[in-house]
Amino acid sequence: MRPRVLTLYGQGINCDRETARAFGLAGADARRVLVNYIAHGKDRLGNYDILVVPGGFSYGDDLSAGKILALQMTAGFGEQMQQFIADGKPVMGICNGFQVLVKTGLLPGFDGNYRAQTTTLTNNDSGRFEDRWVDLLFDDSPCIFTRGIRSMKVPVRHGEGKLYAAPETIERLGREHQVVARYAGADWRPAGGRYPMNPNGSLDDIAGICDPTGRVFGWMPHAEAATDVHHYPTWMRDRKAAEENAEKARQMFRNAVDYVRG
Amino acid sequence: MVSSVEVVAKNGLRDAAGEGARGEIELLGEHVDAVTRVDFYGIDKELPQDKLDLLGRELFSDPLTQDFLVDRRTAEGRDWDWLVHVKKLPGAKDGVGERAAAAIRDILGDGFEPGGGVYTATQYLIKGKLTPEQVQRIARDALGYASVESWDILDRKTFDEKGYTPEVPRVVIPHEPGMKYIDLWLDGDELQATVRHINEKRAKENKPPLKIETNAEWLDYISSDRYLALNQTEMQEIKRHFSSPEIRAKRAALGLDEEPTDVEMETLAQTWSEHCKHKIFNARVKYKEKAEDGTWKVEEIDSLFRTYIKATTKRLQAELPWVVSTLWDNSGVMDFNERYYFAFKCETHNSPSAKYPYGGAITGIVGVYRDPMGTGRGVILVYGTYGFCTAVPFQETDLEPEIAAGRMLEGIRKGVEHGGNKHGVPTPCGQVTLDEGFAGKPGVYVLAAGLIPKVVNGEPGYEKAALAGDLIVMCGGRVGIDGIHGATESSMEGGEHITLGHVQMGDPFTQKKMHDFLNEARDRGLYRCIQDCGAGGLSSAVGEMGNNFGREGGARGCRMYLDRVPLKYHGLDFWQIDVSESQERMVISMDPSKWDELRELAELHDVEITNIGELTDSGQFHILYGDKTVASIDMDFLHDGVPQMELEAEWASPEERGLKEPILDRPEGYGLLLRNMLARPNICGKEYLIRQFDHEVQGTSVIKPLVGRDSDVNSDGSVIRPDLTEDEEGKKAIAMTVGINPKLSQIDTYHMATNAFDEAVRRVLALGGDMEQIAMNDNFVWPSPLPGKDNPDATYKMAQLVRANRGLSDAELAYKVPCISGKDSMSMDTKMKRKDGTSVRVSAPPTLQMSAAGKINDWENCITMDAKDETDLVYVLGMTKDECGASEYYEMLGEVGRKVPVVDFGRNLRMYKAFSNAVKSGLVKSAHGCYKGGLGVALAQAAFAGGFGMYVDLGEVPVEGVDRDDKILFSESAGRFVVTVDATKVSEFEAAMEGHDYRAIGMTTGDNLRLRGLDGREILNENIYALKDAWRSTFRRMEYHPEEAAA
Repeated sequence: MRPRVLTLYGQGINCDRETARAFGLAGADARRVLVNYIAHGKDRLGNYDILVVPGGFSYGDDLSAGKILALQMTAGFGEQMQQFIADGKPVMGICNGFQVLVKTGLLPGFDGNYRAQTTTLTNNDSGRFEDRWVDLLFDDSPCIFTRGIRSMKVPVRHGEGKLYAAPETIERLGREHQVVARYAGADWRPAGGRYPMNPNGSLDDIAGICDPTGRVFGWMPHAEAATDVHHYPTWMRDRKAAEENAEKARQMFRNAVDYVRG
Repeated sequence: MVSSVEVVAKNGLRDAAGEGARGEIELLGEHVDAVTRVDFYGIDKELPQDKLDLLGRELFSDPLTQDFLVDRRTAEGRDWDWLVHVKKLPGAKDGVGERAAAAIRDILGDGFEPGGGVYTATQYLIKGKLTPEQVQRIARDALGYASVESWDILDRKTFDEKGYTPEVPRVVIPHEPGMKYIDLWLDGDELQATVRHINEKRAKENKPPLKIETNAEWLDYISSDRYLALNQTEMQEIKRHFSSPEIRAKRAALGLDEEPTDVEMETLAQTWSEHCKHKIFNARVKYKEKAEDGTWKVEEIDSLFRTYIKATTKRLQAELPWVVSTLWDNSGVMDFNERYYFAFKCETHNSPSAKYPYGGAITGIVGVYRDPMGTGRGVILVYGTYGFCTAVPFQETDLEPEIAAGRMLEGIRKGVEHGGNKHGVPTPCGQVTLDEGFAGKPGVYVLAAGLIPKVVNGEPGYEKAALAGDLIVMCGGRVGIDGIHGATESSMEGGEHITLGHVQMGDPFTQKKMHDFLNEARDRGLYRCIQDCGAGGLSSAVGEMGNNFGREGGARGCRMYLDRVPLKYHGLDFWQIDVSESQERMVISMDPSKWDELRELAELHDVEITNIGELTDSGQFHILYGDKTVASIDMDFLHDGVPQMELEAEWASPEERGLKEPILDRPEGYGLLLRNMLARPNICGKEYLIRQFDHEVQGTSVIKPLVGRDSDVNSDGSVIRPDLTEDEEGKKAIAMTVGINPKLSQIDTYHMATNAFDEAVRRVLALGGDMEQIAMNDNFVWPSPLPGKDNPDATYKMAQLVRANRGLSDAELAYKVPCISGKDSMSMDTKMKRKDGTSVRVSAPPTLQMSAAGKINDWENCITMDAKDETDLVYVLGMTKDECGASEYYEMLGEVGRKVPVVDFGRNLRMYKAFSNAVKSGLVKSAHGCYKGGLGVALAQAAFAGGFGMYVDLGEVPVEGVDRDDKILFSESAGRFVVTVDATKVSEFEAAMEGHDYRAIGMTTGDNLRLRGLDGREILNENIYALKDAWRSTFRRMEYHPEEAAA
């Protein structure tokens, strides 16, 4: 069986092609589907096995990143998203998609509530967009996408990636193993807020989180732009590391496909 | 009634936007204690309090990080001394406002009345001891841009006593739109009566009276009063055309008077503008140069474009099968792989950027994307590049620029950042050139590249045809007064003419949606022909299409209905609708039977499309408003009627201009010298700038713009793999590079051109490319060579242009590297004030940017510039000569010199071929070209990028006529590389390079760069990280240093 992946596009989403490709390499039947195809009822989330909201600049990041798309998706097919999650199907949000997932309330999904916004992604401490590769350390989380991965190098490319929430929320994310990945220093320990290892000032160095089931996952990094040897910044200096890292990036998408296949 | 919502960071949380504003104020040299930034939204719609609260909560603010207030001032509860409220001028583009209005419509299910909407503004609450003058300066030079914004300033006391209610910049045009006739024949008493009438009006506006005595002066007046930028000859030609009995009869039949309408005059002015017709490049030129015996040699050149640009490209196109389509479409096209063609085009956007750097640059990059989008059947965009030429930031001069160089560079950088990133197009490559000549007008280069499917709807993807009977459909944004006269005004000198209409604001979000829509429409075969709607607006886009782009066998005429064009607001005159350059629009032509399918697709993509008329074979550009004809121009006259300009060019050789080689002392302390060279503004690192461009979106990155052990040193260029398919064809890649060196124009523009060309080529090779398939874009940015009382050396500038064209053509033919696209910007002059109050005309140095795209057959062959390992051999390829003329070294010493680098095409080409074969055979571990700063800078960069020191013997460097260490290190001779080779591959590498100029000069070792001089003694021993620090130091203040931000 080839799981069907719905890769949203349109409205300023940018990373739909490479994200669909990454799922395709993992053996999925990945389709790029316009937001309005779902919103206008021409297609339904229920026709798919995995939902991914790719990165980009939906609505130009105006009125804060992911905000308007989150409103549009909730208004247009919010109940379909709730059903999708209730059906136990994986959902992934990358960068702008992560911003959308926290602003719709799909993450972190405390107590089975996938509607209330309890965390946010706000301006990087630097106040600027930056494209750089970071080191990630993976927590022991139930996230189905990152099974078996302990560390990885990935690019981040955002201006609003600082994960922010009330202290008790941050503490709960850690306690309940909903932190999936953290920014790390060259010594492979959490960055401790130090720039640029932690590129945005994210609290507790958090790069990505999942819901309690591990099936809804959002993060800032772009693993879909790390799937190939030549993506790795120093591939011509360290071929072996580049190959291993590309394999880990591919593994993330394969994990989701394998999960659906059961 | 206008309601407001204000949004601010919650107390105690970091206000990154406020801190950013504070940073900009500090860059001005003013000190403030704190800045709070408030986002203001004026909602021009009657709404109850609960709805406004809902919008404040759900739409405008973030519940965790921001507070909002409805119809109240955040300022009331805050501690501040000065309030600055920056709002847009009426009619300036407000993309955020548009998005907010659309979201409000969706949330409330209820839209805005025509003319209503959301108006965004930004309020800064400044804490600090400042005088009113200082606050004015901060508002003008750090927070707002006078060309598109206005501001209110209040001190705390005034605010407390009187309160403050910001107004919104609603556009009200109290005017019934229409059309006027323009009398070109006015003369004698009738003319004097009209002039009296004009002068009475001017007197009321306190303007001095005009003296217009003859019909010729009247024609000049019409041209300048309406910003038509048409000269006397052109106005006379138009008059002659409209005097013809045949034309008069045709017009009478359509109900038009004998005089041209304003719609017709404006359409002609746009189509005949320098921007669209390149009149200088098409001029007949008389070129004079002194022969060796002192006599004048005179040569007639019938169009630089035809003689040097077109003839060269066409000759190479005939020879090179991979050149697919050139010089008729919006960009040139070359072959890429089995599935795709590749199209690319570079433009400049200088005049608007001079007034509003951010707006000009974002409009430039988003606008140039439409060139490949409008090429053939249309592309998917795969990358963009930038080139920024400004004055040197943070350096005091005697000029008083309207916008300081630091703010200028940062503004245009941010414009390209937003334009590229929000369009989802990687921006992995570019250059920054700093020179005082750009103090008035910056050079803003933007390039776009895309892939076209080989076959679209059964036809070649690079082809398109506009056919009579097809519908003309406008796609994208609505039309407003923004951007009226861009094409004509960019042909004028900066300083006084530029009106608000000229300054636009590109909207990448709107265009990205259109890009996705058009890609899908193309793949479904819904349109036949596609054209960018840019400079000159509909008048140019539809005019070109109605002429089938000057090609045989298509439409010869069109009927366009201006009343169907959707407007942003009421009140635009017909001619304004016709020529407005409101952005994010494309025009397509299509089989009318496919209209319904296209409309349905457009709705799903949230793209507005409008059927604005049809193509015909009438031979007329026929424009109507309802059923009334407002313009009807002969297609032949419109496109081919512009009279050829005649220009004189007189070259003065470097000797005649008194340039000579300086006599230099031997330098002492090579360590300091090298560090100073590395820190020079045109050599130093600018990582902060590169990082803010998304260079990896689309997942195609192979060589990034920053490379080396720590990925923080400039690469020679970038490589992408735009087709990611997992097969042999999917391994093909594009190396993109830029070459530029306007400093050399001080000596000879011929060599300025050939060096820029060689640089761009060499950068491709340094990435692992070869000479088999490199295509170029040539972009001239030139001071005006048109004679005039302000331009005493116009004939010399024209001669410089002739010589640059010759250099360009010679380089193309020698390397077999054709320019498949290009563009020129010919009015880089500005009247400026000096600090002492006097005025001066500042002209940019004659500049040619060469942008290369080299095809690489397998991305695995790519290499980078950083030294890779300990104990590798270091080689220099190419000959180092005594060529320090106009080099960075001489400039640092305050000299120009005369010995300019001369490119030896034949010798280079043979060596380049051998070298690229060596790279393909895996014999080369790193390669870095020697550019500005020469061998010394190249060695240092390769060393500190790699994290390995080097021991180098300058006595081993291949030289001709050089006997000094400083010249070996800093001569800027072309055709050279620094290369590292594994010790085990030395004999293979040397065999591959046999017969060419190369020599092992040292090896990688330790952490220091150590140089042995010609006399055998060590002249330099510097830690590579100290060299790197020096290289990074110049723009350190633009980097983010959290420890300093906190302090």
